[in-house]
Amino acid sequence: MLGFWLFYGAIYAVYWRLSHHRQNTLLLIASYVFYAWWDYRFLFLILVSTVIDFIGGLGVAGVEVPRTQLRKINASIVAAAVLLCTNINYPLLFGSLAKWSAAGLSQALPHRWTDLIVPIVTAVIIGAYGIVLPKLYAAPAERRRRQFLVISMVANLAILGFFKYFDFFAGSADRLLHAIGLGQLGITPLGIILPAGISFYTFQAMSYTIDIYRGDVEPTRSFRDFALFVCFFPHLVAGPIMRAHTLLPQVTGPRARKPGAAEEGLLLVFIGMFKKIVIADNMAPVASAIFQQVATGHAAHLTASDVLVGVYAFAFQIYGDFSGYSSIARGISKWIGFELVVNFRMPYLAVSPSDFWRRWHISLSSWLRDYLYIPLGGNRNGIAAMYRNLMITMLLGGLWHGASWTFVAWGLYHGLILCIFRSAGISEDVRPTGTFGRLKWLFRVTCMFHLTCFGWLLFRADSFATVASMLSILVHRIALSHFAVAALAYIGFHTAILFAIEWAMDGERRLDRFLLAPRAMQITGYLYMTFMMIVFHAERAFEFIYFQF
Amino acid sequence: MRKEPLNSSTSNSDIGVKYPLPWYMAFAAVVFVLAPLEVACHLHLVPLSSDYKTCWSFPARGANVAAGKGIRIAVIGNSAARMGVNPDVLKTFLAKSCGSEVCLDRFTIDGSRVTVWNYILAAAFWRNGVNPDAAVIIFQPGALEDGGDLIPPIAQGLTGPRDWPEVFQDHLPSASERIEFAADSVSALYASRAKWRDKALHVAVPGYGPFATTVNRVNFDTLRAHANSTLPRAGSYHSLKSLLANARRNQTRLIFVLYPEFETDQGTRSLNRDAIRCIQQAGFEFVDLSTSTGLVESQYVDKFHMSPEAAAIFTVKLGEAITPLVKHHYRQQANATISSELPDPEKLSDKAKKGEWSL
Repeated sequence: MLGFWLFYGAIYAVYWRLSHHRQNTLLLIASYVFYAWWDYRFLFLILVSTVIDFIGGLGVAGVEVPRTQLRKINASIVAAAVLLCTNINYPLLFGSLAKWSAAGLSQALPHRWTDLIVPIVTAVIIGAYGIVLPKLYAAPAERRRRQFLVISMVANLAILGFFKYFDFFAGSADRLLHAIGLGQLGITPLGIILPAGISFYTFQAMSYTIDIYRGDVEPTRSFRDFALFVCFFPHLVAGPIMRAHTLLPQVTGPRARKPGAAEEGLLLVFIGMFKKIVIADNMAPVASAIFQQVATGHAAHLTASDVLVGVYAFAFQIYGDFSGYSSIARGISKWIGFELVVNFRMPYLAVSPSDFWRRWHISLSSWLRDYLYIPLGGNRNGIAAMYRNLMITMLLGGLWHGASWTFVAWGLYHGLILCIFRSAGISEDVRPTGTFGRLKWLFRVTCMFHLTCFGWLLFRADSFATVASMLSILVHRIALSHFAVAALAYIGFHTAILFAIEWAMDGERRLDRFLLAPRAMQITGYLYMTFMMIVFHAERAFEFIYFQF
Repeated sequence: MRKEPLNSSTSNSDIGVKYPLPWYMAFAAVVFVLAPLEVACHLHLVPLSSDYKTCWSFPARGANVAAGKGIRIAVIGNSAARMGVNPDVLKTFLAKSCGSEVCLDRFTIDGSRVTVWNYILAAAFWRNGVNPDAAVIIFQPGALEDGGDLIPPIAQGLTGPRDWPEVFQDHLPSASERIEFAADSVSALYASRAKWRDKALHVAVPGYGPFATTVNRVNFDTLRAHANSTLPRAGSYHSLKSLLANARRNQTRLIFVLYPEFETDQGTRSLNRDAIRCIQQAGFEFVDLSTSTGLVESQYVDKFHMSPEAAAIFTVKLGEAITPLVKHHYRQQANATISSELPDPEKLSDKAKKGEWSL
C-alpha cells in the first residue's frame, strides 16, 4: 500500500500542471503501469478488450475507424503481443544489454516457436478482421449495429470465460461425466492465472458498446480516451464498475479542481483506509480461524456461537475490504477531478434482499439489472417469468464473483430470498420512526443481516462439506462460548465508531454532514482514524478480496 | 453524449461547497496532536518497554560474557530458546562435562528469526569488538529462511541508521518492507503499536488473551500447513548467509541447534537441508536435536514451547550435544585464532559441500 501512495504521489505532483490532453496521456500510462505491477502479460488482455470495444462501439454507431488509425491500432496490438506475451526475460535482457552479452541476449529473447503463438494468432485474427470489417461497414444499418454488438459481446465474454471459467467448467464437466458413468473428457486443467480485475473492466467495456447500441451514449473517436475509460487506475481492479455515460464525459471533458473536492477526497481516503486496515485486516484472522477449524475437521469443540461470530467477522471483513477499496478509489479520483459512483450505502442496515442489493456493490447490481434482468424481461412478462429472471440474474451475479459452485450457490440463494420476499409481499417501507417503528425496523434489519450472513457462509466456505458442517454446528451445538463473547466485543471495538460515523453520513452520500461539522469534531474524527490505523493495523496485511474477481 | 447527472454519486464538491476545515488544516491538526504523542512515547514509554530494555541490555551482558572466566557461551534464539533452555542447568552441566568454569548468558527476543539473531550478535558482541567462545543458536524449522517481518525491536532496539544499508541490502528486498522498517525505526509510536494494541484490547475485550491465543494458533497452523503443502523455495537464505559472513568476519564460532518441535514434516525438512548446507559450507557447526530428545507432546505447553520439566531435559541434551564442540574449542583457543580454526570453505570435505548431512 505504501508503494501505491508513492506511485500516486508521483502522478499527482505533475498532474495539475498538465493540459487536459497530457493529463489523459499521463493517466493512461499510469493505469497501464499500475496494472503491469501485478502481471505485465495481462496488459495485452486489457488492450484486446479495449480495441474490440473501441472498434465495436464506433461500428455500432455507424462510424468507420479511419484507415490510418486502424493501422496504428493494429500495429500497437501486435507489438503488445510481441513485447508482453513472448516470454521475454526482461531482467536478463536489460542485464545482457548492459554487459553487451550475446549469450545472455539469446537466452532472454524468445527462442521456442511456442513463445510466438500469441503474436501469430493475434496477427491472424487482425488479418481476418481486416477482411471482414469492410463487409460489416457495408451492411445495412440495423444489421451492422447488431453484428458489431454481437462481435463485441462474444469477444469480451470469450476472454472472460476462458481466463476465469475454463478450468472450472472443464473440471466440472469431467467430474459430472465420470459420476454418471460416461467416462471422462480428459481435459487437463490449464492452471490459468486469473488476470486482476478482469470481471470489472470487461463489464465496463461491454456496457459501453451496449449503451451505444441503445442510443444512450455517443462513442468517442479518441482511442486514448477510450483506453483510459477502460483502465482508469483508481477503480481498475476492484470497481466501482463505471458506466460510459458517467465516466466517459469526465475523461473527454476538461477537469478542474473544485472547491471541497480535496476535503471530500481526504475524508473518503481516511474512511477507506480505516475500513481496510482496521476493520477488514483485523476481522480476517477471526473469520479464518473459525472457517479453517471447520474445513480441516478440528471443529469438535466449536459451538453455534463460535460459528456465528466467525460468519459475522467475515461479513465485516468483506464489507471493510470491498467498500474500503471503493472509498479509496472515490477519494483519490476526486483529487484528480473525477467522480466515481457510490458503491455501498450501509448494506447491513437493509430491511429486505432488494434493499440489500440497492446498498451492496451498487455498481454491479445496477449493471446486472440494466444489462441482464431488464433485457431478460424483468417483471414485464408475468410473475413466473419475473422469478425466472431474478434467479438467472442472481446466478450469473454469483458466478461473476468466482469460478466455484459455492459462488453459484451464493447467487442462487440471493435469487431465492429475493423471490420469497417478493412472493410474500413483504413491505420494504420500514422506517425507524416512533417506538414501534424503531422496533420493527430493528427486527427487520437483524433478520436481513442474518440472511445476508447465511449467504456469506456459502461465499466464504471452501466447499459444501464445510457449509454442511457449520450448519450442523449451528443447529446441534447451541451454546455461548467465551470465545464468541470475546469475538463479539473484538468486532464491536473495531467497527462501532466508524459505523456511527457512516450512519451520520448516510453511508457516503452525505459527506457534508462530517465536513460541515465543527472543526474540533472533525479533527477528533481524523485523529481517531489515524490513531486506530497506526496502532490497530493487523500484524499481517491481507490483499483486497475483490482483486480476485 | 447523454447529459445526465451522476445519479448514484452525491458529490458535494459538484456544488462548490467550501468546507470550514481545509484538508491541509486537518492534516496539520493530526500531525500537531500526534507529534507530542510521538515525543511522549519516545521519552517515556520506550524506556519502560521490557523488549527494548532487553535489547539495550545486550551490550553490557555481551561484555560480561566476553570478560567471563572459563568457557564463554551465548545462547541466541526466540521464545522457544527462552522457555526451552535453562541457563543454570546448562551452565552446571557444561562446567561438569568440560571440567572448566562456564560463563553463559541467554540472548533471546520472542518471535525472532535469523535476521534478528544477526543483530543480537552485533549488539552484544561485534560492535564492541568482543566474542564468546561459542554462540549457540537455537532455531526452528523455517526460522533460517528469508522472509518474515522484522519486528520492531530490531528497528528500535538493535539497529541504527548506520545499519540501514546492510538491513536493506541483505534482509529487506521490497520497497514496502523497507518503508515499514524505516517507519518502525523513526517512530516510537509506530514501533510500539503492538503494546498499545494489546493493552487496549485487554481492557476492551473480555477474555482477549485466550481469544487472541486461539486465533493466532489456528492461523499459524493454517499458514504452516499451506507452506508445507507448497514446494520448498530454493535459494532463499540471504539473511542466513549474511549472518554467516558476519560471524566469519568477526571470528565468532556459531553452533546451530535444530529445536525439537511437533509436526515438522518433510517439506520443512527439505528447506532445512538447504540451510544446513549453507551453515556447513561456511564452516560452522550444526546439531540436530529435533528428534533425539525423547520429549512427548504432553511436555509442551503448546506446539512449540516447553514446560520447565521438558526444558530441563532439553537443556541437558543440548549440553551433551555441544560439550565436545565447545570443549575442543576451549582447549585450543589459547593459542589459536578462530579464523584458523574455522575450516576454510574451500577445503571442506565433499560430503559437507554436497550437504549430505543427516537430519
